[in-house]
Amino acid sequence: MTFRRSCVSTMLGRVAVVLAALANVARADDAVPILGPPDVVASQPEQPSTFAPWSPARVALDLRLFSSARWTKQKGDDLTELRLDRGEVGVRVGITRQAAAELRLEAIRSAGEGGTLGVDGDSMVARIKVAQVGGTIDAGPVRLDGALGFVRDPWLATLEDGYALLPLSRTASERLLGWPTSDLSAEIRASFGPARLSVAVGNGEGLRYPERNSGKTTTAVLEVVPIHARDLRIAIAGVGRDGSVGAASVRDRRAGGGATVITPLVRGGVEAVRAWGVGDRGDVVGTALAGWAEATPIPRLSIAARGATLGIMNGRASTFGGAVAVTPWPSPHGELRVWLAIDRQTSSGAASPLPGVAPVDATVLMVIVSAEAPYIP
Amino acid sequence: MRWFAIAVLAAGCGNALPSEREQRVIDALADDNYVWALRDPALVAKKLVKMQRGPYEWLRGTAGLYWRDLTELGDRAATAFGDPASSRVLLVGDPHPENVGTFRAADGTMIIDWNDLDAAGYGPFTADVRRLAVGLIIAADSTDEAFTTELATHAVRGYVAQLARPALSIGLGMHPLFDKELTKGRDRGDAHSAVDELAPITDGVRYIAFGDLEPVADDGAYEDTVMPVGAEAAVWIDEAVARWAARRGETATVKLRARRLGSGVASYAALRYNVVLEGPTAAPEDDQVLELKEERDGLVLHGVPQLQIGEWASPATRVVDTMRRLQSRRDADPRLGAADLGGLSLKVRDREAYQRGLDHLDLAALAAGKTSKRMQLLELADLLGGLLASAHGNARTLDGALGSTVIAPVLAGREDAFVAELVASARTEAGQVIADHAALKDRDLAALVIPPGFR
Repeated sequence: MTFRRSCVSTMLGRVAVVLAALANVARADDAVPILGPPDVVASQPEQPSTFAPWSPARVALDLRLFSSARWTKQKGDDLTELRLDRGEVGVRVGITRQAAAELRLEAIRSAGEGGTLGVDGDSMVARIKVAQVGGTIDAGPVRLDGALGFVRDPWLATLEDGYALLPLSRTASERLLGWPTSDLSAEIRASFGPARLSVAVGNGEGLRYPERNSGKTTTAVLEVVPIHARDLRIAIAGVGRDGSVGAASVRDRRAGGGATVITPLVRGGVEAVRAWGVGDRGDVVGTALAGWAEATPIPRLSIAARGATLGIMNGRASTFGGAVAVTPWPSPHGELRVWLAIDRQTSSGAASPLPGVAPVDATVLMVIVSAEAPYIP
Repeated sequence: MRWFAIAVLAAGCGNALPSEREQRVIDALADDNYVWALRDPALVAKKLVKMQRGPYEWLRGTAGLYWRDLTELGDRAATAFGDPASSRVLLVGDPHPENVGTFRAADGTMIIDWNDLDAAGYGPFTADVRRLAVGLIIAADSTDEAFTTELATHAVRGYVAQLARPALSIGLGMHPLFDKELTKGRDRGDAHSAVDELAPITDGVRYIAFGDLEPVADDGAYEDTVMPVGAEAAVWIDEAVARWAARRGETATVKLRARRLGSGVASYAALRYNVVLEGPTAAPEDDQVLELKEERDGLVLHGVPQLQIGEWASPATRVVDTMRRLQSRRDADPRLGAADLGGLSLKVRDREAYQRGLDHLDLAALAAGKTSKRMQLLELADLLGGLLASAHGNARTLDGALGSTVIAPVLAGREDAFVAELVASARTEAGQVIADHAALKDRDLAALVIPPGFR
């Protein structure tokens, strides 16, 4: 089978370039740039509007830390270790009431998973996750937001908006399909009533590399919130992505959707994505399915369940788990939770690192401490 | 403006594009050479040219691709010979025939053993056996499929047979080709030919012979070229040698330093330095020569449960440790050691002529020879299979078990089926190597692999 690099993606990329050029000419004297939504204030307490409004805050900070103790039971020796699963700090500075700049850093281990080659040994290092300049314009009933730089991927941002189990697992799109969390890109968002359309055009290489081919990757996400009441919020979203990754322009095409339901006692979500091209394999076609739910039967105590599976040709990689979480010290300033969790991992066939050997089957027991602390003076 | 816009939109979409397989190969090469390409794109370009010379060079330059094909998502044949325990065996990582060479152990014994553990790590034993069989098929460079199948069969049977035997140590008298190499290595080593070639004595003083020790090839790739090092590099080379010596409880005096280009294929673009050390006396005749070689991460099986960090402190310590564990004698290279300088990890080894590698052309000559020569090649395949089994079987796995105790149960009673599966998969893989090489041997790989702005 011969792979053809997507002309659609190339065309969309070129359309974006041309539109940007035309817009630049049209607005040469306009003091307000076309800029986008800040990530730092994306998740706020319940808002009266359908989507989080543009924040006029002069400064906003955000800290997110997930740390875990893990016991992996498998055939052969068990593994135990402490990990810093996520360590992020973000700062957003308002430049005008309609423009802001944001920088978010994340801690990562400098050596690859299981490897030894790192920066000056195997230390943890900080890398840029988000570095964007954003702005907003109200055009009657439509709000236009835009961002340029290292911008969060709009699909992962949509999935994580309301996703309560991030300390347990990344979303299926990120964990199973390797969807990059952010990319050197330009994003435009248009919000109109209960609907929002986000379009990002970027390199498609994520955080690992600068651009390595001339094709651009376009991601479009349409969100609709048909119910947005005090006791019930339902959001549905669809995504389309077309582009290429790597020096050889391997196809990176996705289509999918998801839904989130939030009530005072229960929240949950589903996610389904079809992928044409995974990693550096343009010929691989797979479907990722995931679901999660969290209930808070009594204050300060939650129970959660989640599962995700990726079907590839004649194989499947799956992860299912559950958790109990307590909030020992409720606070209006943030959320500190302690989780006792279990995660079961399996793989088979084309989705296994070693077809026929099943080296992945494992059960992971975890104690996780998660802290999420936004701060807006 | 509108015309500009239309022109931009109309451009593109018409270029001839590589097939999906070619894309994968190019992407793997781009990934594996990325850091080197940013540092020294010209050297990476020469490496790619060297890989294009023939299927064997291509095989040597694509070990990373081999492992990707074996372990990453996608349609692959399932093995019937593996389980979790035997997928955590300590592997050579790239056991092709040219990764075998001569050593002079601490007591002076000359032996044959694995000499390049750059890719060593934990993984499924079947993959190493298959890689060896593939290497033999490609090295034979023969259109006689029955013979190359027999060659692969001998390698796998040699592997199976050795598992039930005591550790194998290959010395003089075991194979004519090995005897030739062992004798050459001993004679040249005793004559200090390596240090004399690098830094001949003139009027009682050694000087580095900068320039081409072998002429640059017609395709532009260095074969064996010695270049000077700058003052800054000289400082950290001396520091690396001092650290290497300190770990051994010794002191070392560096007399001369040089960068050496042209060795290897996969590691062609890696930093390699030669240093001449003061010997036991001040006389230049007993000076010694070491090689410092940049090391990177080896085999890491992704997507399996594992600790975040490997068990070794650095790539060079991994190479040194695995070499000692996988070779038949821990003292095969008495000077073997490691030195880490920040992000640069250097393996230190004896560079005297005692150590010399097999040449795949010698194997091709045997394959093209008369029956007796072909028999020699089959016997060599038996021995190499045995050498690999001995390495696997006598090294501890990631779980701490002896390799033989986790491999033997997987094969017990199914040896013939194992041979059949491995030979069939090796033939398929050899065909893929040849097809990849044929598809890309005439392409401007540097333009495809090296990042824009660095070409």
